[in-house]
Amino acid sequence: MKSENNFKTGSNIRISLSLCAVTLLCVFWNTGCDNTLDPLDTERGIFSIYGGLDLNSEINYLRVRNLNQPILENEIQEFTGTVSITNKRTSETVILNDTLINIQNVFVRNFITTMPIEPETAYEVIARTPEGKQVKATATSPAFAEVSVLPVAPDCTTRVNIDFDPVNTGGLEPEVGFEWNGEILWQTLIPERGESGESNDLRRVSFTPRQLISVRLREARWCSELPDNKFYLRYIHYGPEFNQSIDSDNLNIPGGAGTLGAYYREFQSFEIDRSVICDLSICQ
Amino acid sequence: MDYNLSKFVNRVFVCVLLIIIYLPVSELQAQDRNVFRVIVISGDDGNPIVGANVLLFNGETDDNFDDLFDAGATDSDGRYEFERIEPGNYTLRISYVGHETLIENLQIADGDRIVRRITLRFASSEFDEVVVTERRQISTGDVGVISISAEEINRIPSLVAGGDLSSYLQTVPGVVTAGDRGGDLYIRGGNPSQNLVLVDNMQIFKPFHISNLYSAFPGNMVQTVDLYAGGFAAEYSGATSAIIDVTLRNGNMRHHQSSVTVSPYLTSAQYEGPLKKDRQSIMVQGRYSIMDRYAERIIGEKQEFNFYDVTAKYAFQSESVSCNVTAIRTYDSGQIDPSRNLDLSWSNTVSGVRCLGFDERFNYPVDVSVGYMSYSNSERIDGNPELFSSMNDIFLRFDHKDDVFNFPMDYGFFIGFRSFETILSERFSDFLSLKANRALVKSYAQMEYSIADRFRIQPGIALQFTLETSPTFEPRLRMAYSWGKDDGQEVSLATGIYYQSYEGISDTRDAGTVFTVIKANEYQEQQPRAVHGIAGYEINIGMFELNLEGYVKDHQNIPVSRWTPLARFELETALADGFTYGFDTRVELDAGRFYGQAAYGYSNVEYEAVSESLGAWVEEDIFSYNPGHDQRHKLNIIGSYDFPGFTTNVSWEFSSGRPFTKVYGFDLSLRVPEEDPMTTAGTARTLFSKPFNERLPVQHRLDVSVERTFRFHENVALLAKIGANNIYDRNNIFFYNLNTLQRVDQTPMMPYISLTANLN
Repeated sequence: MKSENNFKTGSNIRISLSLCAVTLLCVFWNTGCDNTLDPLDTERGIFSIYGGLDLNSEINYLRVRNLNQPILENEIQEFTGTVSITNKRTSETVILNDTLINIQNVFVRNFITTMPIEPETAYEVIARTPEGKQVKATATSPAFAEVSVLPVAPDCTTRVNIDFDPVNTGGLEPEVGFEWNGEILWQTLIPERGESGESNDLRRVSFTPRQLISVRLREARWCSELPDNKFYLRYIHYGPEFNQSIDSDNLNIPGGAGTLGAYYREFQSFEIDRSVICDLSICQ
Repeated sequence: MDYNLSKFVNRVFVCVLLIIIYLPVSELQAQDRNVFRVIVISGDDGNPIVGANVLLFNGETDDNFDDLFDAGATDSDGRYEFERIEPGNYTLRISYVGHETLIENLQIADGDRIVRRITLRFASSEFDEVVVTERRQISTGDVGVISISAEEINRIPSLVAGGDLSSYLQTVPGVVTAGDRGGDLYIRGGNPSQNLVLVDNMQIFKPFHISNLYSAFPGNMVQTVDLYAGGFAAEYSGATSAIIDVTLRNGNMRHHQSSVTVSPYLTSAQYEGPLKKDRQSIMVQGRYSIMDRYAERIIGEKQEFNFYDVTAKYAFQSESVSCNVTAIRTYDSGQIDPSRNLDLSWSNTVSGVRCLGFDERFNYPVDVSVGYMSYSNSERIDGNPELFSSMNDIFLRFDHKDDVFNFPMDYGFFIGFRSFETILSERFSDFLSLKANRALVKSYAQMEYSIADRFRIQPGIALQFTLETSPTFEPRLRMAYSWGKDDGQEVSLATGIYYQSYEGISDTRDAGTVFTVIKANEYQEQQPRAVHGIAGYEINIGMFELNLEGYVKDHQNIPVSRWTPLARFELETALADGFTYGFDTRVELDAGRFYGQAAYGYSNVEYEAVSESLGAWVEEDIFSYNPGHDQRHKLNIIGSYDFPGFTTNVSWEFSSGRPFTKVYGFDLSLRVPEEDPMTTAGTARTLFSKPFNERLPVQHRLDVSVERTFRFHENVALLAKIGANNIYDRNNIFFYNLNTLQRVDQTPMMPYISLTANLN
């Protein structure tokens, strides 16, 4: 068979190869001398701020972290910025000191504030870098709600209303408890708005002592079986910034991450009437 | 019987019944059709020759070859069939490089049905044939298809003698890898689980090793490889991006041969030989990596992984049937991120039988395959098994061809039974176990029309269904028009709709792992789907071949991991739509001793998903982004020169940077006020910036090899190969470890010497 074997091995091929080699060398020099990579978006992430400002506490702690530093075990990382807190009503500003502690082999930095946290007041925490970048977080403290328990000294089957007024949009987590076998057992109640005509900021929880005891103990019980005639109330009243959950991707601190809010806890007791002994005609 | 099962069984019964009824009817109808079929065998090893030139001329002649009746090239089984041959006198001419040309006069009588096994005598002086005459008749409209031979695989510098398919595929424009580790290939915008890899008609899920320099297909085992980067015909279904169809060669049917290879990175041993001369052969090869033991001494870096593969093939051939039994086992384990204690492993076990009946009683050959496939992968942290996923499959496949309205029609069916299992017991999420079983039926039909030997059109349709899903409707169309006697110009088009019955889910945010959850589709409306469109142009200018091809792929229902700030494998997925467009161009020069190829590919991949379902914290409702395999530019230059006594191979690759996601913070989150900052460290989480909003630096790498054969005896030869990958030692980035803020680069300069002893 006649082969179509027309290859040219002469000067044409050699020139082509030389040109290719020169081209490649030029490409080598000009393409990709810069091989660096910066994986951190330092413009968007600066600090995270976590903290709860307790109205009833003289000292509060704020966790501030430089987001650009990796989380490394047993390694102290320098913090070159400043953290301040400002009372927006009085404009008082305090630069905070920090304390470094090791928790589970990780060094964390908490900033200490002794600024009194007053009700219905906005507080602004600012973390700044030496270069001037900053992250702000604002927390608005709730008002101290007035609590009323009515009626006074209800009996076991009487409906009890506990009113909280005012309650800010941050929310309320009330629990009612009673002593049983030497410890206080707590039951969470869901607050609801007041009735038509009552204040918009009023929140109310309602229960009957007998029903609450039975639900908590998961069996029918009567108030006369309690060791004393005390019921207990504890609750947390949150400021509005605590609406965000920690797992949400909707990070609520611009330029950073975290949650800052204000709250207070209260604990009190009230009495019930245990004089009625349960018998079939009454406690059914 | 359950309603779905009843409906499924009915569908399967109808499909099989139609085929069973049609088969004898068509045979009866076409008994008077002339059949002339040749099977070309090599006189060297007794095996079928792929790509032998087969020409049939009108009349009887020894030197006048102008009146051509038909021409073509033998297929992967060494067969070529002359269609619609009329009674008369003909001259048959068969030629192939390295073999003596056969010229034979023959006569076809009315009603003749002839199957000829023709052996071409081996002649080592016949190496000059490089161009097939009558090229326009042979061209088959191959847009979207790259046919790869063992010789082409061997041109790419690789760490093993004979080359490796994995090294070759990385020089193809449109094929993207995340680096030189992990074994994942992205083809024209599609991700690895959207590709279907076949070996001898059996699916093998992930045949690429943990070092991307190796695969289960070394060049010395391969007969042909067809890479369908898109627009594939109806005979292929079950993948929405690409098909890699590998046919292994048979063992030598005439001589016993063995070889042993040693190198600092891999050892291998191979044996092949006849069990019965010209009738039965066996071939066995085993390879084992030793990179983890010796690589550090050579390149200065630990390679904390190893792998092995074992392949065996038994072949039987007679005048009327050929069968082969193939079995492959691969295993990979190790770390692709040396800075983490994250161990990955995966394994494939594939075995099956394929028989081709081409007796003269059949109008066309009958192709039957039955086999088993198993794939599993896992991820361990600090030695504790945490993530596992697997897929197993038993299948039966039938392919046939027949005349419908005097036009040949290919058709077939596939029945498979698959099981899926996934176990996730990660520290940060609850224990999760998923199991599913699926019965899958696929069938197809396609026809081929040819007008004046210039215009060819191949319409087809495929469908597939399970108990849970209704039949898909997958029309396909391929067309080609060729002109120009000397320059062989051709324009071709391919388009089609493609579905997939399972999906692979990987956490693409983490380049340090390739663990993939494989799960069956549960809902019809969420079945992965794609539409392809490809157009190509080819021309031969002297010794140069120029190829230009443009493509678009529109993918729907791509499962992507939800974005969360917490460091954990996210099985919960969102569905994204993907759109890919681009073009490839290639110039090839094959001039005897010199071979050169330059190929450039441009590709643009974009995904789109609902922001809320993706979990991405962006303002817009629909979030568009370029995923991690959106490599815009890729340039490959290959050169090979046969000097007297030795051969040099050079390969240079340049690629633009792929997208990655910046991190904007490492946080220890607290649930205030429940968690006290003075007593609780908090929950570690990585805060990702806008997904894939930055690009890695460009990469380029030069690989070189030189090889020479030393013959010590008629039956003993030593092939010595010396070379280096990344010869100028460029620091090409693999990825960035965000936990340690360490950059992980691809393999530095990797010199090697490989010695292969061949015994005949």
